[in-house]
Amino acid sequence: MKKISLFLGIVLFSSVTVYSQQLTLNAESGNRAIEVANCWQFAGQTYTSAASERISGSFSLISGQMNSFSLTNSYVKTPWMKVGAGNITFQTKLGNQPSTVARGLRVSYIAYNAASPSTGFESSPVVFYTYDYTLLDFNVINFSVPIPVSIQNSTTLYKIMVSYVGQGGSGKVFSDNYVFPGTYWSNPANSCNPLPLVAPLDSDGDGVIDSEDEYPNDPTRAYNTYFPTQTQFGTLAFEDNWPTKGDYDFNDVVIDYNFKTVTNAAGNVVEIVSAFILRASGANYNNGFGFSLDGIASNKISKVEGNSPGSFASAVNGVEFGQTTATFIVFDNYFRIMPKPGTGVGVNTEKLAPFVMPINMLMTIKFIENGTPPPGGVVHISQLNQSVFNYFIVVNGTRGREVHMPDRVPTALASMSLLGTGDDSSNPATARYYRTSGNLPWAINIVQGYQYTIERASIDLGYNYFIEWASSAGVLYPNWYMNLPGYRNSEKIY
Amino acid sequence: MKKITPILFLIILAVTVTACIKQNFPDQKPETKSKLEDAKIPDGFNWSTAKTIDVVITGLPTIITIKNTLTISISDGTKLYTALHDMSQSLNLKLSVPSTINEVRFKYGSTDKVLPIVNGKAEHSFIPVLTDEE
Repeated sequence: MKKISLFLGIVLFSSVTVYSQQLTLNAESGNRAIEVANCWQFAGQTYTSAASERISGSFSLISGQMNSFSLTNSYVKTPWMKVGAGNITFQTKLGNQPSTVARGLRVSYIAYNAASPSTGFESSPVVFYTYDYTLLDFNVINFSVPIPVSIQNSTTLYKIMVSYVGQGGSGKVFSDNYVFPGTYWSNPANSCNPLPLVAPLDSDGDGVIDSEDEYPNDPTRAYNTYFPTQTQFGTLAFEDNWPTKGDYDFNDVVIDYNFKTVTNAAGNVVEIVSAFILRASGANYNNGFGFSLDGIASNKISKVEGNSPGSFASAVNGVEFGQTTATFIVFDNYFRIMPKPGTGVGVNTEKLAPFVMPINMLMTIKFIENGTPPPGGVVHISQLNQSVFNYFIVVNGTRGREVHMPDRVPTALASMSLLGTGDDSSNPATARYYRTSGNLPWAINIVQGYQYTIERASIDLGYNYFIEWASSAGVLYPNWYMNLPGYRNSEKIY
Repeated sequence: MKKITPILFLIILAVTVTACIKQNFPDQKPETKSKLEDAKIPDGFNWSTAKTIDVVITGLPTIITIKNTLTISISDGTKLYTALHDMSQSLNLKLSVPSTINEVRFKYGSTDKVLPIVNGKAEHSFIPVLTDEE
C-alpha cells in the first residue's frame, strides 16, 4: 500500500498555526465517502482495486463512460483551497479497451463567489489546460500542469477541477496520485464551506468560540448540561423500614433533584450544582440522604459546599469520610432540615396535618477549582452520566443502615450483615441488592417528578397503572405517574 | 319506674337494631387492598422511569484538525452532553434519558439532525453514505 501523503495541519479557531501545503488524492482510503466528507467532489468517478486498472498502490480512480465534452460529466474537484505555486501533477492511463473515439482531459479553476450560494459559491470554471489522448496508447501518462500565474499564491479561494471528456464509447480513464500545491481551506463540519478567513472570536482563548461558549470570558468553563432538564426536577421516593417491608407508600423520604454539570473546553467536569427539594417525610425515623458517584474516586473531588452532613464525618475535601468512592451526605437528619409540624406522622404526608413549605438545598461539588485539578485527576463528562449517581438514605442515624435503589451497590460504610435479612433478598455475589424475593424495591426514581401518596396508602392505590408498569418491566404505561384520565386515585395522593 | 322501663327497653332495642345494620354512608367507601405484593415483577427491573442509551459516533479522518461543539439533547432542548469534539475521533457515550424518549438530537457544526434510538442505541457517522450520483 503506497504511503498516504497527506500533510496534517492544526487549525484552531482562535489562532492559525500550520496549514497543509498541498492537497493530495490517491484513493488509498479505499472509500470515496471519506474524500467526499473531506470536501473533495467527484462526478462519474469511483475507486477501483482491480490489478489491471490500478496505476499504483491498492486503489486508483476509474472514470465512467466519457461520452460528453462537458466539463461536469466526469471530474475530480478539490476542496476550497488557497492555490500555491508550481505544477499540478497526476497520473492517468486509458482503459485497455479498443476504441477510436476521442478522449481527453481539461484542467480548470473555479473561483469562490460569495454572492452565489445557489451554485455552492462556485463561479464558472476557467479552463487553463487541455490534453487529448493518443488513442490506443495504454501507457501511464505523468501530467505536470503549471498553475496559472493569475491564481498562484492566492489569498482568495479556488477549487481546481480535472475533467475527463470524450465522444462516447466504453473507454474509461484510470487516474491516481493527484497533487495540488496549495493550502486546504474547507470546513467539513460546515457543509464544506470555506474555513473563515478571520478566526471567530474566542475571548477567553479556551478553544471554544464565543457563540458556543456558555462562559465566553472564563477559560476554566465552557458548557452546561442538565438532568433531568434545565428546569424539571426528578423525584426520589424511599421506604425506610428496610430490610423489612413497609407499607409501600414510598413517602418515608421524598426528595426532588436537579443537576447542572459545568464542564471546560476539554470536556472535563468543573462542578456539579445539585439542587434538592425536601418535600416530605412520612416517617418516625430521623433519616439522612446522600449519593455516591459510582466509579469516581473520592480524590477526584476538590470541594463540597452547601450540604449538611451533621453527625456524619467529612473528609478534608468534603466527601464523606472513610469512602474511596466519591460519596456525599446531603443531610444526616431530614427533620433537622425540615422540622415536623407537631401533629401527624412526619411531615407533609397527611392531608389533615399542617402543611410545611418544602425546603430547597443547593449543594455544589467542585471537581476542578480555579482551573486546578484535584489530586486524583480530572473526570470527563463521558464518565458522569446519571447512571453513576447512586442515591441512598441512611435510616434513623444508623450509618450502616443504607437503603438504595434496586441493584445499586452499598457504600463502604454500609453494614453488609444486614443484606439478605428480613425481607431483603440481596446477594452481592450476583450483584442483587435492595429487592424483596418478589423484586419489590425500597426506593423508586421518577425522573419526570411525581406526586406521592398519602400516609399508609400503597403507591398502587394512588396510581392505577403502577403495577402494570412494573410487571411489564416498564413497557406498559411508562407514563403511569401522569395526571391523565383514569391514571390516578386522587384521594390517595397528597 | 314503670313508665321508664318501657322507654328504656325501646332505646336499647333501637340501638341494638341499628348496630346490627351496616350503614353505608356516601362518603364511606370500602377499603381497597394493595395488590403490590402479589405482583409478578421481572428480575432486573430497576424501578426507574429513566433508561440508559448508547450514543455511538464514528469519526472521519480529516485532512486538518476540525473541532466543533458536539451537543446531544432531547426534544425540549435539554443538553445531555456537550463538549468540544475532534471530528476525526469516534465516541461512545452512555446517556440517561427519560424512558419515554425515542430519539435524541445531534448537533455538530452545520449538522443538526434527529437520531432515532433503536434497540437502545443512537448512531451517527461523520462518513456519509454516498448515492450513485456523488
